[in-house]
Amino acid sequence: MNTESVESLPESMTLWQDAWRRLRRRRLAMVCLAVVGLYTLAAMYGECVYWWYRLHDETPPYKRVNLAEQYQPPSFLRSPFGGRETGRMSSLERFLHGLKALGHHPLGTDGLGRDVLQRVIQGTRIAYQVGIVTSLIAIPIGVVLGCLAGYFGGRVDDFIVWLYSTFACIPGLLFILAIAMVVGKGLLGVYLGIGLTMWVGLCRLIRGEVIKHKERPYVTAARALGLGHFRIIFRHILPNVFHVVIVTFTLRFPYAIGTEVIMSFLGIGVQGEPSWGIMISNARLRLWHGVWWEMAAATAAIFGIVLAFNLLGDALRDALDPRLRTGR
Amino acid sequence: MWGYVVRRTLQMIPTVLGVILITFVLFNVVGGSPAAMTLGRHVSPRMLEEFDELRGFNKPLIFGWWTGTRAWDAAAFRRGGMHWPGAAAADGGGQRMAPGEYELRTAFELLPETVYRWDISFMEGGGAEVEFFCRGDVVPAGRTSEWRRVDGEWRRVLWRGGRSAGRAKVTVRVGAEPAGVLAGLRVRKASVMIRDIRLARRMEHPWDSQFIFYLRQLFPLELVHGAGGGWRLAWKGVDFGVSYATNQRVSRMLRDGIIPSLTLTVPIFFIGLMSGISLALVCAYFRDTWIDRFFVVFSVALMSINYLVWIVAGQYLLGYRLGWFPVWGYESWRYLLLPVLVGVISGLGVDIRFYRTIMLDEMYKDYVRTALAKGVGGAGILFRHVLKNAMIPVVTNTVIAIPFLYTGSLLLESFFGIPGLGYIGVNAVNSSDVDVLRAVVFIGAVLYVVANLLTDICYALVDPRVKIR
Amino acid sequence: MALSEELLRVEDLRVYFSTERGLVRAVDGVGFVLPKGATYALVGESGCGKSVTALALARLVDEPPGYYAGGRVLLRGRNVLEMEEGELRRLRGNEISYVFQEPAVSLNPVFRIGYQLAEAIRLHRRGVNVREEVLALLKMVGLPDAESKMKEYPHRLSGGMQQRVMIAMALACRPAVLVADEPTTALDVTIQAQILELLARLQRELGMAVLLITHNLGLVADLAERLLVMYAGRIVEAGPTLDLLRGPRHPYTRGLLAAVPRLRSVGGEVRGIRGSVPNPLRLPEGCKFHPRCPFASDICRRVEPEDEWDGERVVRCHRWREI
Repeated sequence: MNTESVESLPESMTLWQDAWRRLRRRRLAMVCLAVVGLYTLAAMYGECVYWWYRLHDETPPYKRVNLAEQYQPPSFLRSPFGGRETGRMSSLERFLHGLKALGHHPLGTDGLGRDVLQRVIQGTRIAYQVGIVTSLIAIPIGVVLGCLAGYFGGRVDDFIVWLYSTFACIPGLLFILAIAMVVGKGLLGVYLGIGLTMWVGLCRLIRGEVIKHKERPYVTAARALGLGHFRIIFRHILPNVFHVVIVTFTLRFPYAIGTEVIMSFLGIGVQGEPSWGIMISNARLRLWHGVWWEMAAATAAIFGIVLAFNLLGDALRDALDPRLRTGR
Repeated sequence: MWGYVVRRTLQMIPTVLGVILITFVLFNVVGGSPAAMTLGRHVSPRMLEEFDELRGFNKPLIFGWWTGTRAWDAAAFRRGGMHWPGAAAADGGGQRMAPGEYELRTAFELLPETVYRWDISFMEGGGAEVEFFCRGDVVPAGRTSEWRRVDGEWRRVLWRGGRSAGRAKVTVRVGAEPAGVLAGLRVRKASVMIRDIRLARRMEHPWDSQFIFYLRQLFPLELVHGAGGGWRLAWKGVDFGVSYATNQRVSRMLRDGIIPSLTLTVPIFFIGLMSGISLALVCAYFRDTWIDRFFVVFSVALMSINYLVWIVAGQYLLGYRLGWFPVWGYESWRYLLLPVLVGVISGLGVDIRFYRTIMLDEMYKDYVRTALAKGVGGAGILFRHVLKNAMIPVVTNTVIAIPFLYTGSLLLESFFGIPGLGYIGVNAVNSSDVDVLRAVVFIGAVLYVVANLLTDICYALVDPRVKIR
Repeated sequence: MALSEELLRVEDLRVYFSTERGLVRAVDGVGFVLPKGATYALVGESGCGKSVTALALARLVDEPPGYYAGGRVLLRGRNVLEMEEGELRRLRGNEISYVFQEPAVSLNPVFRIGYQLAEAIRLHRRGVNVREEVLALLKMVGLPDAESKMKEYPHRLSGGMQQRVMIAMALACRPAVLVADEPTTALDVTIQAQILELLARLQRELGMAVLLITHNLGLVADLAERLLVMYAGRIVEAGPTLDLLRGPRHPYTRGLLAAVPRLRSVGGEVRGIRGSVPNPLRLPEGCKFHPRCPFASDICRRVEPEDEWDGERVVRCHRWREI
């Protein structure tokens, strides 16, 4: 090949740079990324609040019961810039007072006078914990088993395929609930229940990709150099199939969050912390009395993060590997 | 064709065995007996033992001669909960026992004609002498030379000073009259520190285990002595045991749950399928126009709304506020309308997306160009050429979705009060009803395996390219 | 049969594709006239726009991403590019029909062969015995045992058989123009010759015009009366086959001919054209071939050459007289 044709090719880029470039061109994907970033910040803030009050051994605001302030609607519906007590104030004072009132329970309070915004933020923290811990359980299992099955084939492959097809047989939500029941109610049950069922899809995808890569010349070359099997798998093949992990992670994160919400709603998930599922469960009964804002806050929070992750996952898949098609 | 079906059926066996193994590991190995959890804390050990006996939890896991029994509360001993005069709880578990006589009183009568083993761990014996004794209808088993018969009781010295730690095992056989049987320890000369005392029961057969018990529940095949002499195999009917919470046979509960589940899920399945495919066809027909783009965004948004929200919003808005549908119960067909609607809507996003991908994949195949070049019109292309090809993935994915009919409505049933399998399952989780839950999980998995088989057969029937070898 | 009777006239055809990365001018100003009953061959490297040209003749390019940026395709005087959907449908498969490159994927896998042929007949012809007609077509393309082959699914036939079915389908309505887009590329060499022979025979028997699209110059010598050489979306040289093969004028044609390996020159050097097909997003200024042309001069880099007629031959090159 001579110089002219080299010039006509796009500048050489790594796979990741190229994917990032393609992703950046999509406005929607960038918006989703920003939304995810916002939620991440909220989760981190929630974590700080949680630990601050825990280390100081105080009741955090999201658990503080204040019956005098129960069922307060969101502040913007309470006409913050008017009202009786502002009658004798100057306009500036009234404005400042209004601002202060806006900041007071901006999303209202629940039946025990607890601040809804703080609880939603704590829900974000729990959702992130669930998403991250379940991924930390599922990804290593899926990646290691998938790589081993794909690379070694034969008996190893038979065994791992048998293992994951057996897991895949068991009805998803029921299996998760059963694991959680056996382990006991609480976050541990949620982690294990979701984590131990989520690796199946990833394992199957990784296995397929590794089988494809196993025959590529670079693997043959690595083998000819006398590299060990595990070095070839984890240093040479894995980086080439890692995009599958990223995409799966992005698409599974909202699934884990949604499942946690359902489990907490059913009462076998998070105990004693304000998870979104628990908020919905509490708010469901209050809805009948016209207290809609707790419900609205929790459902909107869930919808936002799940939608952002779903769209981002799609965009990432298109950017990283158009061959991974939308499946069930 | 039949050979293919038979071969595929045989291939199901390892998966079914895998399901059995996983459910066994989950409920028996990891979970263990749920007796204390289900019955509550303030229940006699005898009732716990009966609970376990009924469900096989008082057997060894897979293979073994010895199994634990709740007749002796080893944990209470370690805590110092026996309240013996002359004994005191020691730090780190166990009891320091002064010279004297201690009865090892069991919580309930031991089983007649059964071998038991006491397993006693000592610490820092000092100069103490510890003797085991038992009275009543009981005889020593095992090494009988160390035993003495004195004053109507059997005695055996377990421990004489000079050693720092160790354990002793005493095996006895309870006779036909277990009522008066009593075992105990006599400590002489100095006090002794006893870490742990355990009681184990010897099985008559080492294979009489939880695993075999479970297998025999699932495959109740037995050798029966026939009427005309000779042996024959008899199938007793699958038995999932008895539910603790409702005290009904599990198989009976499941049978009763099938009809309500089907009345809910079959309409959801078909309406969902039809609307999913039609909307996907609309997308394919108007591909790359705003209609298609709208449905893409719409389906992702639908997918992102949690199932719970659909249920709660449906019950509140359509059921309570507008009063169009009854909110809770299972009395007439009207009670099914709202759950069916919620079920269809919540699944629609995924369906549209999935079927649209299939249709568009087909739209860009070469045979479409050929058909166009022949002069086939847009509708002919879509409904004749593309749809028939798309039916292959659609059919296979539809068949594989059939097991979801069984559990897909888990939440719907429990929140709309429809007494189906999902309702039963969620209740079982809430009341830790292991038998029911295990049965529901197991049947769900087997259904999935069967659906897999059907999928492959359908695939072979629908796609002329598949060769049945 | 008067050879000069004009059947299909393509004038200044432009087909562009708007892609994520920019505008691709796949076909940019192609023009030729196909007389009744003639066989023309359109040759060029892959990616030069010959398949798009072929598809555009019946307005088969996917819109979007493609669109017709200009020009006319006149079939018997009617502009195909301005036809309505219904008229277009009556045209396709009836007056102009196609044989595509890969019969294995171009036949619909879930319909029996008989049905696919019958569909082509039913769409355009009334009052014929479809079954008889299908059998006749299959016999015409030399498919043995037509009776049972009718009931087979495409995947049960070999590649050559599938291509015969494709040809039968294309001829179902005795079209005036048959466009064969690389009809033999996906086939074994021995089968290639059979299929080309079949096309030649059918062309003689049915008297239709054939536009044969190929990247293989060696195949067309016996078959086509006239060669059209395409490069980067343009016809760079055209002329009677033998003249053109004996005395190529455009440097690209020369390179193409030099790249054809000949039995006689075993051991000799097979020369190619240096470089490769230019990136369609970034076509060079001036003559599109100049970066690869050994004779490129200053004017080639600045000004795009126009068609220059010389008797029956056309060439698009500033310097063809000099070299």
